[in-house]
Amino acid sequence: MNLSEEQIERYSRHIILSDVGVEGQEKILNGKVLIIGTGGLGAPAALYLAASGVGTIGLVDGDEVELSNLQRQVIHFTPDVGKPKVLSAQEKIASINPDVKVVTYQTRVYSGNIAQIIKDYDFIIDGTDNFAAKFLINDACVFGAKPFSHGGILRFDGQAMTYLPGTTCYRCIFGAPPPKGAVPTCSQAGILGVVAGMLGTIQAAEALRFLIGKGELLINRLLIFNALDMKFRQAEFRKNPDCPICGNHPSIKELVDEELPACDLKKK
Amino acid sequence: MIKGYDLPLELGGEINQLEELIRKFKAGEISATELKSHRVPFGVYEQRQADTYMVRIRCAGGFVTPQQLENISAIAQQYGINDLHITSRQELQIHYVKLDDIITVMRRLKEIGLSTRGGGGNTVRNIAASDDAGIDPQEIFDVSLYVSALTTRMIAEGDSWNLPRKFKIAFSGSAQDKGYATVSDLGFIAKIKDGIKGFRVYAAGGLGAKSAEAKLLLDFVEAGEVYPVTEALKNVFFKYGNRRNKHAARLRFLWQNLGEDEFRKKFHEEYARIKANGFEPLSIVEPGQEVSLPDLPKIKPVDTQGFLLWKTRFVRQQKQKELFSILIPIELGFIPCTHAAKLGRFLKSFGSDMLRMTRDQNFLIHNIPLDYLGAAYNFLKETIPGTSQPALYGKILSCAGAATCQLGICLSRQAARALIDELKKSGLDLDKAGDVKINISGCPNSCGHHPVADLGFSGKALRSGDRLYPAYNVFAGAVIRDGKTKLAEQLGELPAKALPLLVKDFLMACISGEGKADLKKIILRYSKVPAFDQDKNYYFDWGSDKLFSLAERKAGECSAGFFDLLEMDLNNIKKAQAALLKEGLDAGQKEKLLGELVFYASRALLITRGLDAKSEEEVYAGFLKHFIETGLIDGAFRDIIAVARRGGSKEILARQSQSFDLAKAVLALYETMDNSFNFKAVNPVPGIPKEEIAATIVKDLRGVLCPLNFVKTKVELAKLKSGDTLEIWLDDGAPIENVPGSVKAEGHKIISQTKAGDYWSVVIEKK
Repeated sequence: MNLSEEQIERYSRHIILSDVGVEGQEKILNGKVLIIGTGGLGAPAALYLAASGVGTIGLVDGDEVELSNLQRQVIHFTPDVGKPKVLSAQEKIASINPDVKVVTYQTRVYSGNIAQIIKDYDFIIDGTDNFAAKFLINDACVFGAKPFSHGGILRFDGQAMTYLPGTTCYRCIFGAPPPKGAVPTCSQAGILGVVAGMLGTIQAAEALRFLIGKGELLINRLLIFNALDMKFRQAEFRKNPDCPICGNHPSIKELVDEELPACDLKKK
Repeated sequence: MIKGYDLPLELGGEINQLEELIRKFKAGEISATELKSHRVPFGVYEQRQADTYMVRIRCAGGFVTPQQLENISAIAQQYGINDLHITSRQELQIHYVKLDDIITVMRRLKEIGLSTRGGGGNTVRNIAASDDAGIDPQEIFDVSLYVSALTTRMIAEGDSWNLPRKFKIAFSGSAQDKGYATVSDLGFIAKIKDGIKGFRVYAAGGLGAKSAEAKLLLDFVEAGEVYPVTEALKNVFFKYGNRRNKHAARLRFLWQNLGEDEFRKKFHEEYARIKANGFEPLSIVEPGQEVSLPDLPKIKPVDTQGFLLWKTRFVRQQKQKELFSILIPIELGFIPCTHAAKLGRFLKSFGSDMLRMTRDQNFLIHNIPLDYLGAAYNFLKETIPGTSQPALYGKILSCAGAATCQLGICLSRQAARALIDELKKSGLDLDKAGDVKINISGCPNSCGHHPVADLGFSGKALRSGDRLYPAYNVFAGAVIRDGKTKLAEQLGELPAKALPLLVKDFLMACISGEGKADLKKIILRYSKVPAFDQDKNYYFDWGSDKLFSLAERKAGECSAGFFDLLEMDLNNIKKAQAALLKEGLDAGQKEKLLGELVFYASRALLITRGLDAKSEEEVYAGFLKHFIETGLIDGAFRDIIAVARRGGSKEILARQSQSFDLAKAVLALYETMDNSFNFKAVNPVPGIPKEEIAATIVKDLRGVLCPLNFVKTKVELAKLKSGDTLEIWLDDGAPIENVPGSVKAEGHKIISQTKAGDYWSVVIEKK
């Protein structure tokens, strides 16, 4: 692969970095990253990955842009309200960086479609807002041997971890979704907009570092931060032998849809 | 219902990985050999006709549900040729699948709970069992539950796919050993001791070019020990098995090499270790008796006389007195997909535990209630040809033979067809011949099971004058039974053309009660070969209109993988060496050959370090890291590697002897490799002084501002190999003050920095 003059200039601040260089930038340009959910987490992740030159970005979201999204979902603009999120995001990416190929999936993920969607990507970013999707993404990535970044946010808190085949998975730590109602959703509890931006960019950084193969990913550890006091900490984990999906005697043998709580906001 | 097996969780991901490899192969990024090493363990073999593949489906103990059979038939019809094939190890095969369709076929099979993983290569192969397990009135207990549970466990374990050679396990329900436990790598024979269920365990037997009876490993283990015994033996094989010579790699050779005492000692060490560490026993749940009466009329058979004859030939009462089994003869194991689909549909209404593939390549229906035998007869008579023939036709067994197998010598299947035609013409009353096993292999490898036959054949080529003709070794007298197993002995040889006549005479003797005493005499009768100008027929194989030859025969795919990749490069090294010794090479040719020599020498052993280098750069980097820096290969060879790495053409010509020495050092190192890929460092070849290297590339960066001039320098350096030099021209001022420093900070070497008029020339050596 030969970089064009324009690409050399566009990515010059990457190329200067000795841990990225031309080789790393080429890996980024050849990379394929899937972002599931183009909301609070997916929006900043998509913007930064597009700007970085990730060759193919897949976007999965079945929703349309709502006014209440704009406080944090920075890839969508005021005139986009009512537009499918994947289309709105695709337009922004195209104007940031025409190098990027965008593939859109205007659907939510469920057990019947996820394996097919993730199959062509090198790395998956979980930018969803519900436990059913989070566990489904974990399960599909374990079965499909795909690396992915988990991210979760609520109020002022954020957490992230990365799964590579063979490392601690989301279920190793959390087992199964909490009982319905035990954990409030963002629409009930609220979210400081920048928290989404902070975590989405952490996820984007995981994807980039995975592609270039440098540094230590968030594997076997969970990064947790609180943006109210601005404190970061991390918890180390090991692969759980009793994990229901990747443990020694797994009980989950196929993809299942965990119960999806009805969206409280839409009912109102 | 827990028969069959559960798919491993990783299967979907593994299929994705294979899909990616196929894509890379088609894009020319990996070689056919590399693809083969991943494809064959997935039960996908290339057929003799280029670009067509056989896909082998794992069927534990020959079990498929009627629904699966119906679905497999549909898949085969869509992506393969219009026949399904039953193998002698109770699997189903789809033939003539295109490379592009393999992944689709695997995904479709996965949807119906089946996998091809371990269908070939150096893996735990399909686990076999007596085809009447669970219904045999004489069995001690039903072994099929153990077959299913052990299959589920084995196919989920990663080391099952990377053994020194294939590993075949078999179960039998009684001392009659109908599952061939006494001729397998690992065999279990059901036994009850003091009221406790368990097994006699046999090991290190097997059929192949050098077949051997298995040896009694344990006189009795309780049934709960099946898993640790299997695991222990697999571990012994994995650790100590021979990974260097695939022709002497099966477990029976390890028994021979270690000696009985050492083999047993190693087994018991492993066995004790596994038990000490604790293990999860197989989960065996006895299924309740499935009683389902189909929505079919209890019809009277269409013709009573035919029905009665059919009943004597094919129908047997089960140990469940009210139920019956039916053998469906499938000539040479081939059944048209449409017939198989109809069979599946018909049996579906009775239940799911209805069907087994037998080791002699037929179907055995289980669990038909007496009242429905008529309906079954009517259905089979209409659907399966051969239902009205003597059972012997269905029991003639042959391997695929040279028509499709790349290893085949003789066209065994065509010989079997010729034999069937001859018998049909003969008018012999074959029902009186008894249960005679006639097995034909197209080459000395025993895929046609000739060593366990009453009358067996193995293909070979013989010479008469200056011409080759197809021929067979003749074997007879196998006994397969717990404690008494004895493989068939070779009695003589005969031309392929005479095979049908010899069998006919043999069966005539059986019918008249003379038996095998006469076989040697019969062989003599047929062993003569007429000269080519007297009868050309003998020089053509059955079903072929081409003069017999071995030209199309290739090296086998059976153990594709590690050996093939290694041997391929060792051969490449030898080829390049030989070519270089030829006279009259011009500089260009020499240069190319030397480059190849160094490349193959660097690549050959990488696989022993688990490296699958995708580019020249990865080859040299891997070789430096794993062989030079570890001291296995003398550091003096760094120089020749650096030269090859930057493709220095003239320089390599000047280093001819160094290139040869490198190849020698690699071959010598390989000779020290043990079965676990460990090397002993050998005495290094004396070092060679480092030589100077000339700079070539110049990049004019005048007029390019900071930091883009540095960025472009990095872009140019990225195109070079370590040790290469680059000359850049920079403006005075900020550029010359900054760029060389940044370059140095990245670890490269600034060789010179000189002012030339109003700009600077900087020469950099890449790190």
